[in-house]
Amino acid sequence: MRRWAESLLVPIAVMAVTWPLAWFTTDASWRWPSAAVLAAMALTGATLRSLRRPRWQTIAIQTAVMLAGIAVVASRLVDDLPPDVERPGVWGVRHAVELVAGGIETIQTYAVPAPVTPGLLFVVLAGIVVLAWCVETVALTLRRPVLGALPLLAVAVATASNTGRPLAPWYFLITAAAWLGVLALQNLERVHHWLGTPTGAQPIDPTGVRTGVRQHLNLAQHTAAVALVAALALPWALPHLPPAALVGGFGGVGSERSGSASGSGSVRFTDTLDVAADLADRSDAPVIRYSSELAAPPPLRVLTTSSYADGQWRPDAVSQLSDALPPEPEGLGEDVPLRDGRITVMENNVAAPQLAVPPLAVAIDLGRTSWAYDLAIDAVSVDGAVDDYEVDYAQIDVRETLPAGVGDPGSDPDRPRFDDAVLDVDPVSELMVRDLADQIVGDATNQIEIAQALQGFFRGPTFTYSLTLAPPVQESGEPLDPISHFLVTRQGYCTQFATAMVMMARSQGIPARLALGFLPGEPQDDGSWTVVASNAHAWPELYIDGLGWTRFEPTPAEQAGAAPAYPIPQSDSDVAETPETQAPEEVPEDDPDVSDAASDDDSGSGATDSSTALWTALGRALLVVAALALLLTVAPAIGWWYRSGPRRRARTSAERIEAHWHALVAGLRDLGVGAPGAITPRQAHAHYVAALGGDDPVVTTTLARITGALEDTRYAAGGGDEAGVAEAVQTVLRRHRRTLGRARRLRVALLPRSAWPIGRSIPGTGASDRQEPPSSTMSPLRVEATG
Amino acid sequence: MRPRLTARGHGFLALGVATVVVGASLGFPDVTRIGALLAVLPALAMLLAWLGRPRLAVTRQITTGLAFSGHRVGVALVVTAAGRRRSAPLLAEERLDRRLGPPRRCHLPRLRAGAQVIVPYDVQAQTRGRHVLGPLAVFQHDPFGLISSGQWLSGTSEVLVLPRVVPLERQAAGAGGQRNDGVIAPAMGTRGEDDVTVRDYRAGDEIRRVHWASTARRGELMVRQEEQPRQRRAVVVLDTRDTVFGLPDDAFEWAVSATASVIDHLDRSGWMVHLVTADRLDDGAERPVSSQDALRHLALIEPRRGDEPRLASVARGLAESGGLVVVIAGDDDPEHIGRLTAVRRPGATGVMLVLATQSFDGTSVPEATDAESAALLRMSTDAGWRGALVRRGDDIAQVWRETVSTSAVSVPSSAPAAVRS
Repeated sequence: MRRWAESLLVPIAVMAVTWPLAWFTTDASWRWPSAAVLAAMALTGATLRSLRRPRWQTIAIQTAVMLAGIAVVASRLVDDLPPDVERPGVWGVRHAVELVAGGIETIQTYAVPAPVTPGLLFVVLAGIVVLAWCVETVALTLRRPVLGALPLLAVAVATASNTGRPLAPWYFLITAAAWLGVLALQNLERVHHWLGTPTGAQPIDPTGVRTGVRQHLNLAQHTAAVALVAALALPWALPHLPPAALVGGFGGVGSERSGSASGSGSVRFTDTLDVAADLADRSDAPVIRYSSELAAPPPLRVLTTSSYADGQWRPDAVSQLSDALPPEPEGLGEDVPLRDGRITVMENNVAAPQLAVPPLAVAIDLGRTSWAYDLAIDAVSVDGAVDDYEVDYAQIDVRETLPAGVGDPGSDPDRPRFDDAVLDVDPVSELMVRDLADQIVGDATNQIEIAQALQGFFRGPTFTYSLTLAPPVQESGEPLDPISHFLVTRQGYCTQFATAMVMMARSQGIPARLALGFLPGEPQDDGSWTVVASNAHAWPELYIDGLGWTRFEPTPAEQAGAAPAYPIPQSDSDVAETPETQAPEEVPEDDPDVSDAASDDDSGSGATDSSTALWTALGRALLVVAALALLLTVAPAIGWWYRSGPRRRARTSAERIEAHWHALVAGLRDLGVGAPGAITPRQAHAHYVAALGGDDPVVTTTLARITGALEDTRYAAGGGDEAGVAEAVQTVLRRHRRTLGRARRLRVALLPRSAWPIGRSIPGTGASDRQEPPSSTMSPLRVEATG
Repeated sequence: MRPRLTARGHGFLALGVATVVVGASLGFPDVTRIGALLAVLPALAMLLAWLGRPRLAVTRQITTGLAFSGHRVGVALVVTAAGRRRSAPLLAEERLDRRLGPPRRCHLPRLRAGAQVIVPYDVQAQTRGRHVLGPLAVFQHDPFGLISSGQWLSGTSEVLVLPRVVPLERQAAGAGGQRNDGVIAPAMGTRGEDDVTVRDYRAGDEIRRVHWASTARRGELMVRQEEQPRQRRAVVVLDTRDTVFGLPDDAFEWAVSATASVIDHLDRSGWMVHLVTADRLDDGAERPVSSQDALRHLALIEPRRGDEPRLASVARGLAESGGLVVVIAGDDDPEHIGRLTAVRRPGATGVMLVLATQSFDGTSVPEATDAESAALLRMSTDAGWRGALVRRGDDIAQVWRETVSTSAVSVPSSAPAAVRS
């Protein structure tokens, strides 16, 4: 019965821990086939274990069942492949290879959530099945439940750290409860077999077994319940650093949608993680509620970034914190018509240190919360949670025409020198981006004209706004990079539109960057505005001479609303708004080196990388493992520091011998051999010989060598001979260590007693007992249990 | 033992704390949760073990009366919850003197304060002596294997296992008695004056003993109860010299068992028995001993250095006034046998059982040695004792029967050397 129960618990745990994988895919059609294969494996395993078949048999048969299950699924999935895909002639391996290749391609091509292609379905399903096989084999067949939990732990950590938001507690609860169930059931074997253990003991209450087992099971249930509740409560009560703090460069989700339809998984802005995580958690709740003086408030910007590489936007490394807003927005001409606006935020769920504010903020009132302004990325950084705040801002008054000269390259004598980041075009897609941009822009030279031409291109009828990206397109056997893919398929969401426009603008010599934040949201009946998770948005900001960083909106109106218009004095441009090309003071910065950085579209920021996403996931898991490993070294390091302390400080030969003695006493103490009392070296020798069993002549003589040197050091006129003492100490420790069990040795290595201040005071070492006469009675031998 | 974390417990705790730190530092509450579970489990297990630590009082009762060697002894283990809290379910192991068999194991259910659980069990006492029952070791079982906790509950009990008693045939002892008071008296003693006492008829009573008057009065068969006019005296001497007996020693056990059987037999037959052993010379030998007391004494008797001349003189003193003398002795010392031979008063019956101790070692005994033992026996049989040379495997009842039922001395085994006086 127990074997059936534990066999049932493993698939439950596996399904629960892999359930959140659905977050990475558009649907979860892999669940039921996986569950079916898992059930078949569990049934086989339980039957074989109940029949007490040899372990190798159980493992072999279960492996066969697993492979058969995978093969059946593979053969069915191959039928779903598009007809143009070459059918593998042989049922079996080739199917699987074909499918895995397809799955990997999907992962590499698509953003999260990836469409569930047959290949991806197969890869996910096979992964789950193999995971279940590992867990079941190790935990149940080989009866190592703790070891068997490691694969589960790895998957849990990977999903937890990659979804970028806290998972619902159910996944943890179900997985943990199931695993605790396995642990408890296996542990019950001791209770169950208590009466009939091979020690020869005789049972005296055969009727008590059932009661005993039941009561122990009850105890296990209650303990597990309390532990699970505590495990849920503790993280809730424990302050967590923002994920960005340590996982620099990783961790966010796409800026576009943090919910199930989040943007490409590869757009990972560390700094957006908080936003996304928070929003995702409360996707139904408003993220921000505010009132606005103006009827059409601008989007709320959280941060900007200029760094795009390998299909991924990354936070800018440069930071330039200031405790005040810039006196006037960078690059904004004095005669640009402005309107003043103010938003009053009444509810804010954007996690600190981020804050959503309109661009061109001129005054920020956060009450008592202190804040800083990062001039490099035009973002506000707050010290603590802010529930309500006020921001005064300026907005270009589009009802009036902009002054002449705005947007003409070189018209702004104060234009700052930009570094390459804002002009770098993604090299992979550069050719396509530059060609296309050149076509669109034609001979326009005014930056606003160029920008509006690009904006009009993206908002044109050829582009489709969709949260799902088009299937991968191959070019000479390789899937296209994300930006090219977007430009070819013309389907995507704000991240792709914004990234592509940024790259095109850069290709035309206009500095451009990506801004992340929120669309203005929906007006409510009471006049306030409510921003929800799905209002998260990305848009390009171009540096226009005379205007500074200016927002454009390539994303189609259905999602992003009307495009901002910047009416420039009449020009020849063909762009919708009336741009006027002002005489350039300089040649447009069409420096090919700079602008040639191909624009890369960033269907991208997302799709680019599922491979990157995979590596990111692995990297993050590795980081967690590395951090754990680092922590595990703390106690050994402290112990080593303590044991070798006197050796480091020793200057004279006598001090060094005493130091070696100290190391020996502390080392043996770590190994469970109690220190001798304050006694003479000879008595200490006797003590250790007795405590170490005395049956190893090497130990006995080596010990004599050490204690002899010690005795000479302390009492003889000439002092002791330190030659070989250090090696002797190592020999004794090594030989005794060998006699211990593996678990004990591991414990000594990881948690040496000398790492703890308590119980470190070791009598018999150092000078404290040097003057004492040899005590007449020896302290009782104390060999600590080696348990 | 106070609860201690097992290696797994330590591992959980360390890994849990580390994981919590990592989770909190990296900002992954899901990771923190995992760590919290790992860290909380051992802590919780410790707490539960501490709260449910057993406070139990243990007593034991022997439920089968006297415990004879080779027989089943029933023990009732009574465990009472003495603490104020409910105890945790426990795994219990009753340690036993190894001569009583392997330890016994059971489950102890959760016990409310004051509640009691009785666990009955049997032991097979193979050897006589005082054997220890207990202590009871209890182990708290942690559901997840994170702590180990066990303790010995103070309190042991003893069971006194009496020597094996072989029923000796009554008829054998009484066979000659009817005819000859000087040999071995009948069970009911010599015929004396009938008393008026009557008792219920028992199967086997002679019809002529029916007391018709009482039968008529009571409406059921009554027989005359004959009062014993006097009690016959028997002196049983057990040789316990450690020069001839060791421990454990099958020969000595045979001697003790035979002594016990003889005393039991004589006591049942109404004899007043004196048990003379080296350790009773100063205290007890002069007083008649009941079968039970003798068995108790014999249960604990061990070979010892003895004062042989005094043993013989005390025995002789007791046998002075006549009566039966039974001597069970080793075969090493002619002088000792000689002294014991002198215990019997002329005319009284003496039964001398000499153990061929070397044969009890299980090795083949050289013929010469066997002849020496037989010669020793002959010393007493020549002096008028009934005697037998006892070898390994000899049945006590048979030896006794053959020794007392014949006027001749025999070596009642299949040994070739039958000795006749």
